[in-house]
Amino acid sequence: MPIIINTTSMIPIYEQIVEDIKIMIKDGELKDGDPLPSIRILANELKISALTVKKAYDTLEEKGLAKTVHGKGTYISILDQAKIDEENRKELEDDIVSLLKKAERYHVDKEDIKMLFELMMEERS
Amino acid sequence: MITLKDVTKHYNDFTLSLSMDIKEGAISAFVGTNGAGKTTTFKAILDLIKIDSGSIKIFDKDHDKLDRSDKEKIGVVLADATFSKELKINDVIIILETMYHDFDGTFFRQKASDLNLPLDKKLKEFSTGMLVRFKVLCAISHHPKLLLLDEPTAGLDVLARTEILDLLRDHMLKYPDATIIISSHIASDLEAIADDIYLIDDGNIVLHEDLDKVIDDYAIIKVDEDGYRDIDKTYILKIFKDNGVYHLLTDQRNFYIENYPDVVIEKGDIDKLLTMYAKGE
Amino acid sequence: MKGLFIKDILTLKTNTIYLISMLVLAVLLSIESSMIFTYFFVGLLGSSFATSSFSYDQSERCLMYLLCLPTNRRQYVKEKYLFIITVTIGFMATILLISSLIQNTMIDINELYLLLAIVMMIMIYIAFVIPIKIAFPPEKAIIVHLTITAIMTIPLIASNGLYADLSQADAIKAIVDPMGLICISISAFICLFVSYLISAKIMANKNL
Repeated sequence: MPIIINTTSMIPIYEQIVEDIKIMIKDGELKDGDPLPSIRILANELKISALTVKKAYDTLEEKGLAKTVHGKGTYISILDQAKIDEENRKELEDDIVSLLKKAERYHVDKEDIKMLFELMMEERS
Repeated sequence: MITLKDVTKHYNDFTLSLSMDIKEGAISAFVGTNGAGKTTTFKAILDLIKIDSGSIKIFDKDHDKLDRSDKEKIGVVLADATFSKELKINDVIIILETMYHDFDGTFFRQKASDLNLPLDKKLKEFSTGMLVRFKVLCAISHHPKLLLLDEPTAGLDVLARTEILDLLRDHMLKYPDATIIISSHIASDLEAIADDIYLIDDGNIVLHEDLDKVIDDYAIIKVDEDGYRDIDKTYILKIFKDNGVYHLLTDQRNFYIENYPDVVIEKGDIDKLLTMYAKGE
Repeated sequence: MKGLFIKDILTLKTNTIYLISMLVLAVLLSIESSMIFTYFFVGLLGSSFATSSFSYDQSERCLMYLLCLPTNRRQYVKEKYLFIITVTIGFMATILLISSLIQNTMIDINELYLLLAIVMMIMIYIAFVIPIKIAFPPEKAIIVHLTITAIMTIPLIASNGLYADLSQADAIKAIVDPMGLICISISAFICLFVSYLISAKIMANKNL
């Protein structure tokens, strides 16, 4: 299960791990109930600190994608689809807020933003 | 596992003064310039030097009252000291077997062979790299609960260093409650293995931080005179001016990324942190 | 302590050539000189050889590392006394055996008394040397060591000169009588004991 991280990226490593695992879940590589490698083993493989892996696993748990059983390890546990959707929605919200903040800094007004948004949406569909 | 409380040691031109609490299962790194106090701290913990005040506890016992079985749970690499160089590895194996009940001769010999260490040559014929590998082997072959490693990768090329780090990682895998304290000048080694770092400068701990925070949340911001004037300094920890450019250390990278998207912001790492704390204000 | 003992044996073993050549020299000397001279010589030789274990520990900062192993400062000092005394007596006993083998004579009781007396004197010598070796770094220690050795060799040379005329037996009788032997043995034990206490104290306070 090769998780690949970019050590020079600005994206925190734990986030990269979370993203990789999310993709694996989406692709079906990881199914509900599958065990994730132990924290130490993954830390050793990726040559990073165990705390970083723990942070990644904790984040997955917060997002409702995994569950840690004390003493046994962490398992994929996609219980709460609603919770996952909520998390995803929140991520998008944060992204939109960042976008709006940027717009404010560049002094681009709201109408222009809306127009730009619709333009982009059209281009993609 | 190890607690240092208000430990002080006075020398003519230097005073060590620090406290720390290292838990089981942690891999903590000591970082600092030469003479900052890393080796002095190791020596204090190992009771090689007498501290002037404060207390050091290892395994919940006073560090100078450890009995033989306590010491058998400790493995040490010192920067410039090991067995007499007149001895051969085969001799050392006999000595270690006698001194440590849990010495694993099979493991030692196997790893010595993996690391290309000749069992039959005197240590004085070893290269620096071979000697360091030998020292690390001596420290881990009795599978200790506590490893104190002062510059265990000094003088090694990148491949050899990786071998040593792998040895240490294997150790932690087999013995998850084991604790490692490691000091090194090679930041990339520490970044590949440590959980938290202690930045030691002039005998004091100037920073104790989780490694992933150092890498994810710390950053160096570079601005010119104008940029410096305008930037929000609430989260700036250290400032260093070099050739008209201000280097600013922060532990709130995201704040600056979001609010100053055009400014040069570099990821934090151990070397950068060390430099900022050593040179900046 | 066992580990430290083995370490010293293994380290000094690397010097076997030196050791054997010295022993051969001693044997040769024993044929020509008085036994008194020979025993003193071998005693000084053995103890010097054994105390050289200190320089192995100190010259490369091995001592620092040794104290990180499952041992402590007290054990280190104890082991040194044990090692040096054992090696010295071993040397002297070996010479006694070899010379009596060569000369094809039985070891007589007087000779044994003599050996014992000289052993005790060498013990006193060791009692002075060890604390110095522990207290001072190798360079300084060597100077003091040589000075003491020089002082000790005065009776050595004197004995060779003075008693050259007398026969062995008379010479021995002149030196050793049971009371003298007991006195010197007690002094030796006291010296060694005090020396150990001093060494232990120096070691306990040493900053490495």
